[in-house]
Amino acid sequence: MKRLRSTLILLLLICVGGSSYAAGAAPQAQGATGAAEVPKMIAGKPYSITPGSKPGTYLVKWGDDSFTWEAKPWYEDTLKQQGPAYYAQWASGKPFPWDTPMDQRDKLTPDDIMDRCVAWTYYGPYYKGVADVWNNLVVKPDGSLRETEHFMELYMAFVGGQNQDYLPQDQRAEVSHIYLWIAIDPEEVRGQSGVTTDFYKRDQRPQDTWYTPTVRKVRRLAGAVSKQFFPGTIVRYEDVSHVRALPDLDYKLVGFELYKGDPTVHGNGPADYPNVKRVDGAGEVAAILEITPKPGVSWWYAKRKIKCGMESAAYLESEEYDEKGQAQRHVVHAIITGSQGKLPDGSAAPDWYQTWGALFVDDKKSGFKGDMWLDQLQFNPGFPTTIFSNDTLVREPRKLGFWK
Amino acid sequence: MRQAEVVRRAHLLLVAIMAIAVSLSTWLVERANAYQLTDDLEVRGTYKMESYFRLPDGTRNVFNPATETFSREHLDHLMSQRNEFRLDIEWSPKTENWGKYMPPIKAVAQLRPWYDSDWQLSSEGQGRYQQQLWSYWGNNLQHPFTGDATGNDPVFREYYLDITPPHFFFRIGSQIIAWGKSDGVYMLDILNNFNLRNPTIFEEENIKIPVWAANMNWQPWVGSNLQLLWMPQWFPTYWPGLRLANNEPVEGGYHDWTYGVVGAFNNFYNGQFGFKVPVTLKTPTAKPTNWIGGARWSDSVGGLNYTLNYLYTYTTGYIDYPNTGSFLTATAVIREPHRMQVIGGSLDYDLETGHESIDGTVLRVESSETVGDQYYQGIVGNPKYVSHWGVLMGVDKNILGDYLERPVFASVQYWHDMVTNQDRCKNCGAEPGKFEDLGFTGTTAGMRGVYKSLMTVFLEKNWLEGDVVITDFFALYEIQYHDWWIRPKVTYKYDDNTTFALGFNIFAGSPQTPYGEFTNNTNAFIEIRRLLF
Repeated sequence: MKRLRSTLILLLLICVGGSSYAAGAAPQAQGATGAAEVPKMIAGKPYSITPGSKPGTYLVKWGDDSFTWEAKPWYEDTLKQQGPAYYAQWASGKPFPWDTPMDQRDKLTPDDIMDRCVAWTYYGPYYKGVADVWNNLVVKPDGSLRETEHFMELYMAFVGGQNQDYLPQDQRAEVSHIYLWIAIDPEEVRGQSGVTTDFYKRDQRPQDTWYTPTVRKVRRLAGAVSKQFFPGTIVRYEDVSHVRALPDLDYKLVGFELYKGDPTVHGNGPADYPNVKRVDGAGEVAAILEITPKPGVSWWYAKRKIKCGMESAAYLESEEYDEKGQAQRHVVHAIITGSQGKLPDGSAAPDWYQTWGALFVDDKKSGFKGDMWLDQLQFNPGFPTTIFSNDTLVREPRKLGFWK
Repeated sequence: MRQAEVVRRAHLLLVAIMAIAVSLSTWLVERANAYQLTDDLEVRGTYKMESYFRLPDGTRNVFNPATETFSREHLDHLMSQRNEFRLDIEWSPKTENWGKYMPPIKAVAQLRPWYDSDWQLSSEGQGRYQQQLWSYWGNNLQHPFTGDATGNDPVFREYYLDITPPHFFFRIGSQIIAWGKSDGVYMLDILNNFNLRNPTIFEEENIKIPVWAANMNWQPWVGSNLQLLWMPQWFPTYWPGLRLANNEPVEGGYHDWTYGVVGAFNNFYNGQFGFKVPVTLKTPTAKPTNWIGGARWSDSVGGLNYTLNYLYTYTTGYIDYPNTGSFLTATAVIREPHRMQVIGGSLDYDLETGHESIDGTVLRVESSETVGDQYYQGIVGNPKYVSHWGVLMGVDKNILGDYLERPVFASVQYWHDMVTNQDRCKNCGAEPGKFEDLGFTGTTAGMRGVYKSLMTVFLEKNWLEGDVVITDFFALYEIQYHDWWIRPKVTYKYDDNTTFALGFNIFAGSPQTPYGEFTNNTNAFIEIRRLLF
């Protein structure tokens, strides 16, 4: 009996070892839509993933650079299981913004990379709307909490002629996406809400309406300046709603790097919000965009470096510097995928769906941190076609699902 | 005297008990944090304190109906010390479990008991008139269901049911319904009248009087809305000095915020000229011929949001009609509203021209013709038919965005009201083409002409990480009267549940102008708001 048990354990170990080797020899991402082959070349350099020296680790090589991938406690389960080969699910066979073949992605214009990296990660045009709850924390330099806010979010993209029945006829050629928010708490802002309408034209400012419960009126807001702070947060409009390449700024593609998700950066550390499951892009190749204000434009930074995943096409990290080259801010962005969201029938959404996910902002000037993430994620929630309107705001909805 | 002292002590004890109760419930919140009682039921409690302190050291003339004489008295500094507990209850059942075709519903109830300890803490100025003012302006606990006979500031304020089938929205019950695109100017937005206990309050939900209404909305296509309103009962604007007892004005001009014209009429009715004039109140009942109805269409065309509005209603407040047709010969007064109609619309537009200095500017316009209103005409002040045309134009923009990380929101408004049609009055005395305004106390300085206009400026800026400090500045200037109201305020969010605010209301102008009459009411105010659970 004892010998039989030892034999069984040995057989099991051989099977596990063999399958790990097989995965290492031909890495494939077992996404919800089937296997995806890891690209062999990214941005003109060979890319490979092989098992690491320790179980559960992988050695990722890109050109001369390499990185040992190890699961972080807050990784989504599929990423933990598949390792960095997981990102390959976005390398081919998926709709816009991943429709460009891998060997062409490094040739996209910087503006296009920026749009795909932020706007179309946040506002996926491949689903029929999203609803979630935005958790927003402002943390003091001493680590104590300054503010906690929760907002309902409902949003939808119209790129590529999607979801046109949600737009008035005369806006269908103009509006790229719509975002509706409703404050749940704290009491000071409870019931406040708004709708932001964003346009295809880069030089057209998004338009905002704002409902205030104290006067029970919806007001059209004066156009927000993209560089100004988003109310109640330490992020700016350009981080939240004005997320396409802006006309005031110059965008340059300055290179690529093997993104390692430095655990010393706030938001990437193993102990940073372990309950917020997410995907950080560590182990994929990132395009580096350098953003500078156009001549004559006054902006809050002199230079910004933003990193965008070449496979995931998602915003991974950004750093901002002043004229003296001193760091002003460091932001880590993480993807929250469809696997954490629900479809109307209660099942999990496809894993390859992306959302704005989570942002961890380290304001170097003030020492404050702004940490935010979404939960209670619902895809294709069955919004009525009239939902993105001022009349929805007047009703003062309190809970997700109010439209059902 | 001894009895009064006992009463005063009892009231002080009551205030102390309330303060202890608030502190205790605050502690309980931190222990329990249980406002979400079930998945469907949410209950929230908030405490709000607001105190107003008069800054000038002034005096006023007060008429005594018993002796039928005026006397000069010193004003107190405490104008109000209001403590309010607000309880919000919302029930959103999972109607999808009730049946396939059940639309979502939400039931809402808001309770707001309040207590103003001004009359316990002050014995000068309005503090001397506890007997006349306390029963209505001191608290609403004495009449929890109705506030007073007009039901305008009761404990039970808003209570309604929302029903939202696809493309429809029905709100049935006691509610606030806002129309228009103006801030602080009310032409279309007269569905809810006001409780003018303190006309400097900006938070309209606290001073608008909820109406019973069926508020029915249909959204035929994206961005459009047709709203139909049925309101069976009229609720008047309620102002200090309005109340009657035994057909006589009971509040005279004692309350700090009594308009000059109200005080003047009350003194007249109470015997200023050697005889009393009894006043009889007639409030429309809820019978079908007294119903109020309205309709509003809203849509968007080419980036322009617009509404078209129609309302068949009553004057916003009661009108005093002399029984002989003239106050010169009146022996009695009937106080009742008059039917009127409001026809108008509003629009807003966001400018996008390609010029940085212009882009992002929002234009707002609201306009209405009010037909069948009543203005008090001539120096005698007989109520006469008028139609008047109101226009508001507003410009909003975020400014200094290049220099400030948190820019300044700036809003400028221009408003005018022009009488377009009026009954000519032959027995209205001097200046028959003019109308008595809010500050009128007997001379033509308190009268307005056919045209009246004003301008407002509002600036707001947030400060510090998380926008925890909010500063705002408001100024109003009346172009014909040359009077001012200036209101700076700073709000500090102490934590997620607690907010402090400090502000000032500064008035300037001649004594009979709508804002200048309150020069002696220039005040500093503090507000504390705390979420209890």
